[in-house]
Amino acid sequence: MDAPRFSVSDFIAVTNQTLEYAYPTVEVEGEVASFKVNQGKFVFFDLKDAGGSVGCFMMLFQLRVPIEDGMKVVVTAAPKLTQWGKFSLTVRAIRPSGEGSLKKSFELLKAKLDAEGLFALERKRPLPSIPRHIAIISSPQAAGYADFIKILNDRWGGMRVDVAAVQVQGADAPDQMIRALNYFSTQEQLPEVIVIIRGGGSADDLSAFNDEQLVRTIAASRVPTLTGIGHEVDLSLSDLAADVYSATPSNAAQIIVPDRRDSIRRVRMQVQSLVPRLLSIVDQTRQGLEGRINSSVTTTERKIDTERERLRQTRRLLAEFDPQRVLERGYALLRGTVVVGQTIEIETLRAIIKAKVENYDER
Amino acid sequence: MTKDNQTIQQKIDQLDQAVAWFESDDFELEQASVKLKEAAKLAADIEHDLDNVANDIQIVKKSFASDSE
Repeated sequence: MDAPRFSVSDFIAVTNQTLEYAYPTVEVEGEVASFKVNQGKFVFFDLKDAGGSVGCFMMLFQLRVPIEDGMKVVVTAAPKLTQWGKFSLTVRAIRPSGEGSLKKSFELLKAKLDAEGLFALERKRPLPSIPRHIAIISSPQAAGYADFIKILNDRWGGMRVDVAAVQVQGADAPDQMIRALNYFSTQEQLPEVIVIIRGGGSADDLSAFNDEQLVRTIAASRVPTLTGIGHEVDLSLSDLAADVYSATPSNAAQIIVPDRRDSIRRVRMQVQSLVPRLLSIVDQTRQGLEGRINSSVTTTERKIDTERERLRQTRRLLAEFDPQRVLERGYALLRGTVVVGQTIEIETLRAIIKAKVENYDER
Repeated sequence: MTKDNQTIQQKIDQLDQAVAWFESDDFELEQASVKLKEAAKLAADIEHDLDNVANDIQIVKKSFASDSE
């Protein structure tokens, strides 16, 4: 049987068809080397291990996490033979692999976004104290979601809760969460808060929450955001970009709504405190009235005393004008017409005297 | 939303206002008994709502698996 003969172009095309059929998508793990970005659009690097090296190409917008030489990564890619005969991987997604690379990537992106002010405290908005409408982005099958809903329902009721079911782990998770955030931010009736929930997991499981585009979308959200991702020790860049972050999904439920039992206690105490308050007011009013009555009585008594004193003084004054008192002081009363030759009557304290007027001169 | 179309928060705000009235310059002893009864009724309503109103949880029908859906 003769060997098949191709033109160079056909051979490359057939090889690519064969590769596409055999390996439409592969994941390859290795260490990054010769990483570079050309023209601000094209990313080139080599992926190598102890036994070999393969060239990789991807578009810059597909690069969702910071990558640098020496980092261990897993790429999701399609193998391809270029028209110049060079074999390479066309990368669709890349993620750090292993604790060291994850941490390195995390720190690089954190520093970059922090420098842009995405985590600044001044950007943080307060959450509503008692929301009526909340949105949740999570996987309803996940334990973290169940914990959140259980505590939410236990603590408070009467809310509209819209849930976007998304993947919260894996390569597709960031884009799904971004779509959900954009969906809730464009609704006619905006939720008052968007809660992103995911239970605990490995650093690799939680790496979706360190995706640059997701972090940027959270930071730019029209609606205030709350995250409840992983356990207490886990801190993602999504947490840092959110308006409020909580240690766990359960903690997120505790943050977003008050406990109905506390509210019932408060409401009872408010009303109970009114009764002694009211009794105190009644008592104060009664004391005020008694005070005013006592004051009136005192004022009246004082007025009576004053009038009584005035009366006494008037009486004393009147007594001074009593003719008897005048006679007692040595004066005499004269009656009759004082005309020369007329008889007049003179009354003294001890006698009544008749006398004739002998002379009358004006003074 | 509760049966009477007021949220629990709205009722709590109303109760806060009713309680504040007792401390305000508007306080009148003649009205205090009526206001006290209103506050007690409001508190009972809030307690009932808090004990009985459930959250309305809906899973959004839209798929977020891809942009096109």
